[in-house]
Amino acid sequence: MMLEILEYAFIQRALISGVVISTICSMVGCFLVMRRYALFGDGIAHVAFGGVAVGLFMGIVPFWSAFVIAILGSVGLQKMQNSRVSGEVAVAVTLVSGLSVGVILTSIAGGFTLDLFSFLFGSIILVSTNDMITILSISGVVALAIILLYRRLLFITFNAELARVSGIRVTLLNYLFAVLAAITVVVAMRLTGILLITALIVLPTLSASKFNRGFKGTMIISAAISSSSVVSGIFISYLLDWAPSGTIVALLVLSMVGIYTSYMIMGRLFR
Amino acid sequence: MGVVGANGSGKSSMFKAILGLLPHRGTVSLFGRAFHRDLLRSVGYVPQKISFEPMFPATVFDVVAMALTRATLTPNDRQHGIVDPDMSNSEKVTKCLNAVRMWSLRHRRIGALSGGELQRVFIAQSLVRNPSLLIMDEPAVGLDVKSQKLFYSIMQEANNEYGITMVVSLHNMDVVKEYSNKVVCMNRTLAFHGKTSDFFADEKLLGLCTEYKLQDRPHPHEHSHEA
Repeated sequence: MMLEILEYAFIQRALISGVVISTICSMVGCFLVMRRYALFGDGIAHVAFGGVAVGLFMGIVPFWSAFVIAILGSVGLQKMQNSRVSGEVAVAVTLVSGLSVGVILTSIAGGFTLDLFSFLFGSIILVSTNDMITILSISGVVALAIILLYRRLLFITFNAELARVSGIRVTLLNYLFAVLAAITVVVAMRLTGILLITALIVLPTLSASKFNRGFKGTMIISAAISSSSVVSGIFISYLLDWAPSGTIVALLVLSMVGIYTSYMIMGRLFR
Repeated sequence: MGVVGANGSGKSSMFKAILGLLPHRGTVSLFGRAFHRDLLRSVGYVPQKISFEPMFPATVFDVVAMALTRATLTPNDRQHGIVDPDMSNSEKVTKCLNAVRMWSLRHRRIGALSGGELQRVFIAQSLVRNPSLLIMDEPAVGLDVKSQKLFYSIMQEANNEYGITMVVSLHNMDVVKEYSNKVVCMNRTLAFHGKTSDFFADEKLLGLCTEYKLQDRPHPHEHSHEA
C-alpha cells in the first residue's frame, strides 16, 4: 500500500518538497528560538498574507508578491528591533499591518478565493514540478547561506553584544538573517500554510533541544524530527483523507509531547 | 585599574563608548590611537550582565570557542599573551579554561552554570582572543565571598603572568584598595584619574562613590574618554 502511494508523482513531489522545506525551517528555527524570537515566522507569514492578497488583486503570481513583501516586512521588523523595540512588540506591529492589508484587498476583490485558502492552510499535495524546482532552488540558497554564515550567526544568537565586540558585523548579519528567515517562511507556506507556519519553526527545535547535543546536533535532530513528521503526515493524510498541513503539525505536537514526557519519566526514574 | 562611582555615574556608558557600542560625541582613543574597529582585536570585554537563552544548546567549551572564528577579530600575535599564536584553536580554549579553573566543567551545558562559573567562562572567552586590555563591568556582583576571592586571584594571575591590563568597574572599596594600581572615579564625568593612594587620601572623592545623589553635571556622552 505504502509503495503504491509512492508511485504517484504528486506524492513524490510533495515528499521531496516537504522534506526540503522542513529541513530549512529547522535550520532557521534553531536560530530564531534561541534568539527568543519564536514568533518571527508568524509575523512574517501574516505580512506574506498581505503580499498574497496584493498579488491576487493586481494579477501577479501571489508567491512572488508574497516573497517581495515578506522580505520588506522582515527588514522593517529588524529595523524596529535595532531601534530597541522589543521582539514581541515588533512582531505584533508587523503581523497586524500585513493582515490588515490582506483583509482590505481581499474584501475589495470580492472575498476569499481558492488560491488564498491554499496559502492560508497549505497545499503541499498540489505542488507542480515547476513549484518543486522553485522550492528546491530557493531552499538550496537559504541552506548554503546559513552554512557559510553558521559560526557568525551562532555567536550573534548566543549574545549579540559580545559578538559585536569580537568584530562580527552584527547589524548587517541580522538584516541578512531576517531576509533568509522571510524567504524560508514564504517557501514553507506551501507546506503548512500561513496559519500553522510557527509549528515548523518552533516545535522541532523545542523537541530537539531536549537531546542536549550542541547547536549543530540540535539543528540536525530538529530536521530529522520535522522531516519524519512531514513524511508520515503526508502518508496519513492521503490514507485518511485529512488535511496534510494539520496532520503534519499534529504529528509535530505529538512528537514534542512524547519527547518531553519521556524525559520527565526518565528523570523521575533515574533521579 | 579600578573604575569607581555611584550607580548611574557613567561607568558602563564609558566602557560601551570605548568599545564602540554606544553612540557618543567626542573622541575615543585606544592604545594612544583614535578608535578603529581593528583596535578591538586587542581588547576583551565582559559586560555586567550577559543574557542568553537558558536552553541554548552549547557547552562551556563551545562558548569559549565561539570567539575563535575567522569572522571575529582573530587573536593578535602578541608573543607574551595568554595564548600562543601558533596554538590550535582547541589548545587555546583549553589553556584559557584552565586559567579560569573551568576545564573540569568544559562539557557542562552553559545554561546549567552558577553566576560565578558563568563569569569565569566569559572571561575565558575574552582571554582566548589574546587581549592586551580586558574591560570588565562589575564582574563580581552577585558572587559569594568564596567565588569573589577565586575571581580576583584569577584576575591577578592574568595581570601578573600574561601582562593583561585590567580595567574593572568596582563597588567594593576594599577590593579597589587591594588590587588596583590606578583609580578612575566617575561622577557623570571624569572626577578623578590617578594613583590609588591619592584617591583614598581624598575623602570627598570617596564620598562620591557611596552617594546616590549625583551632581548635576553635563551628560557623559558630551565628553571624550581615553583608555
